[in-house]
Amino acid sequence: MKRVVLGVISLCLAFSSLLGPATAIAADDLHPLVLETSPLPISLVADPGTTVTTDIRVKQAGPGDAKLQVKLQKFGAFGDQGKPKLMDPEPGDEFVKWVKFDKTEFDAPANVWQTVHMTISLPKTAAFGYYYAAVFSRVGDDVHRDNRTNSIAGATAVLVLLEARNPNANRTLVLKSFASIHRIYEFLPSSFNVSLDNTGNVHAVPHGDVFIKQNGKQIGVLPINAGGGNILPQSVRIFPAKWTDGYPAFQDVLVNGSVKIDNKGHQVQALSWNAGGNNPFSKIRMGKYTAELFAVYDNGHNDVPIEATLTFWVIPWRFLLAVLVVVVLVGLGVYLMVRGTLRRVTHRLKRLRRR
Amino acid sequence: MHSWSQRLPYRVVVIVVLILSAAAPFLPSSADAAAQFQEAFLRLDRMKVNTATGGMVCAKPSVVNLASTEAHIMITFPTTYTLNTTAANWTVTTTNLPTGATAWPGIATATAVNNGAHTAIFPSTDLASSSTLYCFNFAAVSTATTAVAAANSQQASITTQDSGNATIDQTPIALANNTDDTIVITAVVPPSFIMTLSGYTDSFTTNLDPLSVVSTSGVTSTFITNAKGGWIAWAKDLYQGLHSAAASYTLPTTGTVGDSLSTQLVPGVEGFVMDVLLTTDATDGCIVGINADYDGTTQAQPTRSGGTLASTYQPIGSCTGTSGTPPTGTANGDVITMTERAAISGVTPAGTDYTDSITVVGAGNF
Repeated sequence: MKRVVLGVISLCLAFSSLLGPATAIAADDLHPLVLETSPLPISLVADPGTTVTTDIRVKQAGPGDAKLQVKLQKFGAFGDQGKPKLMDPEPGDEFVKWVKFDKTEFDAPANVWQTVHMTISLPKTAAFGYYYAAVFSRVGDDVHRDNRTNSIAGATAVLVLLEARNPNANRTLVLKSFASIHRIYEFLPSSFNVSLDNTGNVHAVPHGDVFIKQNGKQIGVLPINAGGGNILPQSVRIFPAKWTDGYPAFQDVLVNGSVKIDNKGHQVQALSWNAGGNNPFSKIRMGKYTAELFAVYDNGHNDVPIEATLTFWVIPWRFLLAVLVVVVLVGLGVYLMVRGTLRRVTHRLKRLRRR
Repeated sequence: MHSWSQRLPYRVVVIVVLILSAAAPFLPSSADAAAQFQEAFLRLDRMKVNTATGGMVCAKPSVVNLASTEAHIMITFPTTYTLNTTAANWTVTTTNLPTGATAWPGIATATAVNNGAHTAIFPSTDLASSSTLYCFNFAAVSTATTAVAAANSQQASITTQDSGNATIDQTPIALANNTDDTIVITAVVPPSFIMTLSGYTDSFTTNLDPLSVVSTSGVTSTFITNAKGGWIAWAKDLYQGLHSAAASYTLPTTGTVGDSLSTQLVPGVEGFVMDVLLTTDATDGCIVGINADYDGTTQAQPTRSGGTLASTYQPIGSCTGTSGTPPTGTANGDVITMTERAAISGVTPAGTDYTDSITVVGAGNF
């Protein structure tokens, strides 16, 4: 009997040695991560008590196959830049429980799109805005490593903005500030920040333009929020605008198709005197300018305008100073030359009179 | 006296007949004066029915008639085609010919177009080589119009003629017309976000040492997105420090989360930070910025500096769109490099298993 038991155990051990590791993908076999997700971001609108679904597509570029996972996070606004802040769900976040993915872990062959269905079942009490992030990562990237080695787990997030319709929805944007970075610029670009505060309870999308004028004549249009970015409720978002159309102007220095980075990790810019176009003189920027902001947002009933105006100056003072110095030097030279000539003439006349 | 016929032996007659029979194929005759081109084709610009079209005519002369001197090239179109009889409209070019082809010598605007005979005649000079493919194009404006109805195998021909309008070479061809000859291609470019992490581990280059600040090799993260709002990246840390299970100790992260400046480590004083460096800001896109608390370059010694690691997601870098002309929010290969730096004191517990786990998440902005 013992021989039989030992024989069975030996066979089992021999067979088990032929099997691979327990997990589908061993950590040591993992490759650098390349994750692609689409679309982004996702805006959904639904009535309370209904269900809304959306498809999120994800692809990993290999080189080998991988197992991916999706986890749900939430996001809000971070600081006054309007950038999203990714957050782990907290115990009180009931709205996280409304969300279901049709799969949370799945095999992802290299370069093959996988579609994950995200279903949100809104309770009848749902109202206003909810902000989710579907975070995709590779299974096994965050395991402990050996000596002196940290693990770096990469992930991509698809931001999902959900509005639960409600008659009490309040979409109100208030212009917090419209400012020029400097009052006086030596050279272009001139930079402006449009700071909008969403004092309502659902996200809102402003759009519009900054019109650059000189002596009442429009010479530039800068779109505001051309990407259709949202402002989350009870948060401020700054939309920058940059006027670059003119010269002289600071422009990025390019190296091999990228902006040159200095040894401090900052973008390098250089002054460009390239006017371009057929009439270069029309692009010289100097003097007093007006920037007029005209933006609108939909408050759910009608478009609400937002308007503001500021003035700024472009004074290439160093260039003007150099020109002035040259003019003064030339003038001084002419003056000295004329004075010398006059003195010589006067001197000769005096000598002639003496004779 | 014998007659003439009587004087010729029948054997001689038979021999002569045989010789003539054998030589007959090699003798010139009016029946075989016209030959087929070695190669000939008419490629119309459009195959759609009832559509104005130009075309390309190519032909390689036959060997047998090479000695003949061409003076015309005549295209006979299918009877279903309509020809504009204004010969001046039938201009020609000799550009964009097939590889290896030669411009048709002496080709010029058509001299005669007959809509009844469905022929267009162009001037030509001698096609001197039997190994050359001669080509030319005729114009599409107010010249030929394809058949009204779709049809296959519509008979046409290409003919060369000498100055006396005698045929030299001729090849029959068949043309077809379809209800449509274009394929409408539609494509969708979806909004997408691609994040590449160069590795999933990051090792310290040497053992940690109380006399220096030691850094990891660094991991790069590359961002590509057509999101007009740019992108943003966050990081969170499992232990907020380097943790050793064996020593039951965590070398803590240093500084304050969300600080306005990065933290500079001091050799001999315990500390652990992550430095984020802008490596590439791809042109024609959004402007990459590193969050000040993770930007080691804000300190006097960047190679000893970095940001405080937190257990919650903290923004480490972003690419912000500006509303210039055109608006820039996309990214086509922005790269940031993340490097962890650590310093220990003389009493930091020894251990061979100090490790940390950092999660980096990227997203296209909303």
